[in-house]
Amino acid sequence: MSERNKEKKAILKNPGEKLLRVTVYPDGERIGDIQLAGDFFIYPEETIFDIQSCLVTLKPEPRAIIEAVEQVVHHKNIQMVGISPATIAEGVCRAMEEK
Amino acid sequence: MAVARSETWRLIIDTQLPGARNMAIDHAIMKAVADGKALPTLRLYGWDSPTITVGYFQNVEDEVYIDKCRKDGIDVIRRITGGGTVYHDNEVTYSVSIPLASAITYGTILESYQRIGIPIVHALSDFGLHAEYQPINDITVYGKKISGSAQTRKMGTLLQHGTIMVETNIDEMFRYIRVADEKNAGRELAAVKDRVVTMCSLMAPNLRCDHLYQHIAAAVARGFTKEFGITFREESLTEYELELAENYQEKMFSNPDWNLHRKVDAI
Repeated sequence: MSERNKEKKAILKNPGEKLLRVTVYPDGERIGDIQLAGDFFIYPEETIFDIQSCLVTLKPEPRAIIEAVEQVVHHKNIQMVGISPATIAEGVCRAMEEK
Repeated sequence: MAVARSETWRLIIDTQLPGARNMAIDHAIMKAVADGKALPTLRLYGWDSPTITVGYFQNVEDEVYIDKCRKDGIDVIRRITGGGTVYHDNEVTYSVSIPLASAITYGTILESYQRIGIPIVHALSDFGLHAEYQPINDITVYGKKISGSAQTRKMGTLLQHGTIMVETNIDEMFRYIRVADEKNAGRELAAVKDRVVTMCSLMAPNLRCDHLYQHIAAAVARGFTKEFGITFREESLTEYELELAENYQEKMFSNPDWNLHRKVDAI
């Protein structure tokens, strides 16, 4: 199995938020592909794909991830309930750290 | 800000239906309201057999014991709304489809969850239950969840559907639903089960719960009238909605591509 196909996962639930499951398919030190799942709410729902796409090729650096998500949120007029850019960043970094 | 006292909504009191049909009808009503072909609508309904729905953003394999569901004939259906996994069994479900221009939807999304939750609190109080709205999307009695809801906003329209657990079999629920440790802070399954509660378990022990459905449905409608001054006109689905529902049922809610993988062809 190539490095890229080896999936890494993290699950977290921060206070006041919903459960977030992150699955990352690393491409070296960067995010090759990613899936965000859980019982949160994102409006419009279909923009989850935009949020996931904006993370591809990024390194697991919280500041960069938060900025990328916030940019999409602003550009696409997305509203998040039970999930936040900071939680996504935390989940991605935790997943990437998984051995 | 109060809703105009003259607002008239349609009331649909449905029977117990298959899960795919229920989700298709909610979707069809939302579309009809969006198209200006239906009044704002409150629908009350039940489920003809135990059914699991998962939220738009959830992975089925993460949330349910899918093989056990298949073996026991429990349908697993993906909602168009976010939120969590729900085991629907002996409950009353409500759905509200209203234009986003409605006064009920003003403010933040969180505020609209609360606003739509209050009539459910009123309905439960009609049965002597002191319920409270708990952010984000729960209603509790004595700190235990009795009702949950999920909302989507599309085509200038809000759809919120939610459950009221009447006589739901909590033990059966957890035979099919996986419990994530992170969500329950490492609590044992028994403690997790103890965090949900049904109406019948809280009411008089000799009460016959099988006759409650119509009374609860009526109480929910009264709750909306009490809170917002809504006048209801009891009607059925239109031909337009029935046709839409047929299409959604076939192409989405009976389709494993949608239910398991969130994939849908153009409808």
